[in-house]
Amino acid sequence: MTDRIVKILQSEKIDKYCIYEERRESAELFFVKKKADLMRGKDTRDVKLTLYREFNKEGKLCLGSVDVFLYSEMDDETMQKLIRKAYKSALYADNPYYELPAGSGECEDYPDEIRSLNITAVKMAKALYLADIDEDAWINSAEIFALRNTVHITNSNGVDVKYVKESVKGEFVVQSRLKGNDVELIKQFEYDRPDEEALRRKCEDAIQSVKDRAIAVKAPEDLSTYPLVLCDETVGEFLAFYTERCNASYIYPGYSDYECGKDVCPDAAGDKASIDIIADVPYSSEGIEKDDHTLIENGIIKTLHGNQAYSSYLGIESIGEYNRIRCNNRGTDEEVLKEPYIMVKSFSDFQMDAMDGSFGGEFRLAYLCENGKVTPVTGQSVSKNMFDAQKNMIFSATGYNEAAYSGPAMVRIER
Amino acid sequence: MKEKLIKKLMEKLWERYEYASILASDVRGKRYSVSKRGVACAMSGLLSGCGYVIKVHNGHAFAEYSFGELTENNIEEIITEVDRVYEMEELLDKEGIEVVSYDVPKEEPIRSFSENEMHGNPDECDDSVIVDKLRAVREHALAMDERVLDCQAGAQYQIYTKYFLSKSRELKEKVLWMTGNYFIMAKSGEAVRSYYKAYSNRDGISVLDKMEDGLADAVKGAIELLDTKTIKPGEYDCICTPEVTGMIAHEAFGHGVEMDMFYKDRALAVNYIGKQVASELVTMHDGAKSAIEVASYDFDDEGTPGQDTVIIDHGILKKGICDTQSAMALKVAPTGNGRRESYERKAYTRMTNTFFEGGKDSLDDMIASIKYGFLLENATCGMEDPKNWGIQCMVNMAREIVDGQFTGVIYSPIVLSGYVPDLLKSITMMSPVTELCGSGFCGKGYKEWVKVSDGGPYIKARIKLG
Repeated sequence: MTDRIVKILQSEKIDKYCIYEERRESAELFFVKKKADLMRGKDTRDVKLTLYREFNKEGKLCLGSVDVFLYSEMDDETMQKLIRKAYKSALYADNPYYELPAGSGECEDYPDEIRSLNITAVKMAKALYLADIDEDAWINSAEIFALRNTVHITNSNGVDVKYVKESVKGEFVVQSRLKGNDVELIKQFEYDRPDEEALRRKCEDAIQSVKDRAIAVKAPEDLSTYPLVLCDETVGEFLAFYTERCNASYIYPGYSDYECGKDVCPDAAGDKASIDIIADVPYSSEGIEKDDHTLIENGIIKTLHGNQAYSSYLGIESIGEYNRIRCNNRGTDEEVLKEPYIMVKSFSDFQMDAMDGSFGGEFRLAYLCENGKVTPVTGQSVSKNMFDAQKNMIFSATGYNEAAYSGPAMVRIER
Repeated sequence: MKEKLIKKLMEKLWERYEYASILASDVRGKRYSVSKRGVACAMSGLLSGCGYVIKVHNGHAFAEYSFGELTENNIEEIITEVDRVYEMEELLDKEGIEVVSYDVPKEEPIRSFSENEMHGNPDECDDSVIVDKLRAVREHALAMDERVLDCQAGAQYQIYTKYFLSKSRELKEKVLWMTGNYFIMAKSGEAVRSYYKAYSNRDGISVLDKMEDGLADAVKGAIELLDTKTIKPGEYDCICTPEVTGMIAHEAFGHGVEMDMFYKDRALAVNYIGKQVASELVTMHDGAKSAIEVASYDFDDEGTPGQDTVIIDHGILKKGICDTQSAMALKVAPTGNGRRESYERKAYTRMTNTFFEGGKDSLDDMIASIKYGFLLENATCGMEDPKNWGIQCMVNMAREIVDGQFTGVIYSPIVLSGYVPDLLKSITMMSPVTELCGSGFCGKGYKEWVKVSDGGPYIKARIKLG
């Protein structure tokens, strides 16, 4: 499709553009109890075309941009019509001028090995169900997606890069009826490689947790007096506060006052955050090469991330946008698990608002530890604010490792 | 739509499979936004897509294949790819994993073609019309109070044409919906607080004309959020604004009557059909035909006609909503709620327009009846728990009421929790008018986003807040 689009752009005399062409293939399995309820395959392709237009407005040099999605089903005439209308609309986006990312014009080829998606999906299903051997808890349902995305990015400034990204994603629900309480927990997973062993272990852990949820008692109404311990993927969602506030698109409009060299919490009495941002793909959607970077070291901001426009407005080099986090803090589990505490193992839907710092939610399973006793509890909510929480947090030695987050498996937030 | 070519492909699939259907989608959607971040005017990946999904039955099990392009030359290739999906059945069998066996679907014959009236088709007007309206809304908001940090004014629309074909059904429709919204943002120290307001319709750009109506209140709300207290967890008398009522209807109860959850043994509601689950003041609907809003359509993504389903009738749980495949497993009739995020995704049971009917009480009487309690306002998010009917809903603010008067004290943020039937049974007053809004998208768990609307009247209930 890229060649067809370039020809249309040339005929329309459009000289600033970026073409992001993506082919998405998948093998998908949907299970109910222990049986596959539906099998799916997918092979689709589309292009996100960004058109840029340079113009002057009230003495200010502007670069307007508009995105258009183009599909292989479209004929050239339809594409041309959409492109014409969008190019006109770029004049209404009177945003400050910036230079597009530059490239050498030489295209690198696909580096990854290609696997059979059908085989990958079935292998992961087998690994998941290997853990389904407990009499008191079982897999209720599961969804497994073996994915391959083939991406080609070109722009009018010499960027021409390609890559293939394979991954396995999904979710499963575990259920238990211990003590007559019919309960469930939902777990999600994502791996860059089909990590069968990690998925089996995750399912075993979930099966133990859902049994604990079945015997859990109602939590006390007011938990604000207990230190809070967050676990596993929630630690990553909690630390996303920093990645979002370090994004140039937050800083440029004044939603965040982060800058390189700033101490994110000068009066921290506990651990000071040390966080890396991790590249999930080799290139950003604009074709900027992505790499791992130190975001925050010992509480001090080292890097800001963001797309080309906002990075340019802040006068920094664009390294692309990042969602994946590696936290380098390591403390001791003894400190994290010092009585008393409330450890939330499973939230219904953990929410972190990076704008106002509020975080929390209703939990389905937590462990209340006091007076030498650990009690599984359920059915309450916790609510805190990051601007206070970061003043006194302690990270565990025990680690957690998935695609979206790796680092300490627990963080303790003092009252 | 390449209807001739689609029929040619399907003729071949009907020879090969016991059942085969296809959904062809041509979906175009745009997002606009004006804020300190700049002006954005773009087609959206989530709102746009153009392609096909085939569903087949081989006499034993279902399989699906999604693809993007259909030509005279690739018909045989598509059929080969459909066959290849069934490779997984063999691979699963080798691992000792079974596949669910279904009967071959039987459909009543239907032919239907429709197009909703598009008075203000945004696709036919210049983008400057929309961008200029958003600029004006933003400028007015900024001029109202110097403490406003920013106003993110936005709009979205989607126009879709869907064509469904099976041996017994041929259906086609064209639908437009449009929304407008703003986040009013105010800053206190490092924290930025925001107040959200949205509008929706099926008439196109006229929705933008309504945006000024609630602007002053939204600015006031954002400023009020700069000075809030933390609530003491407990159970209180509360009045919910229509959008908070809608969130309760949708998140707390609606997800629990999605019958694919009955099939998976993931919903408590299956044990309560015919039983009282709410105050007898409560009657709840869902359906593509229950209202004219963003989730109204003639047929769902599996070719089942849309309906108006009465879920709760005067407090009694009557029935759930269902997609076709789950309905086959449960041996019930589907309700026209089989929806896909796009042609690239599986169909699940999904809500459409979900709401409580209105009652007879005035809002003034409701407020006057509160000795100590709160008005809950500005719904932010919620999460379903169909298995245990636990509530997780968040609202931006709770306005304190003492002896029937607002004190001016505001608590924020607020988490609603508790047991859904306890909340619904505690409803003692409802205002007359049901208000619906389709500002957001609904996820199934953490993914599969589809456009929905929800709403209701003001309600008075006992609610656990934290």
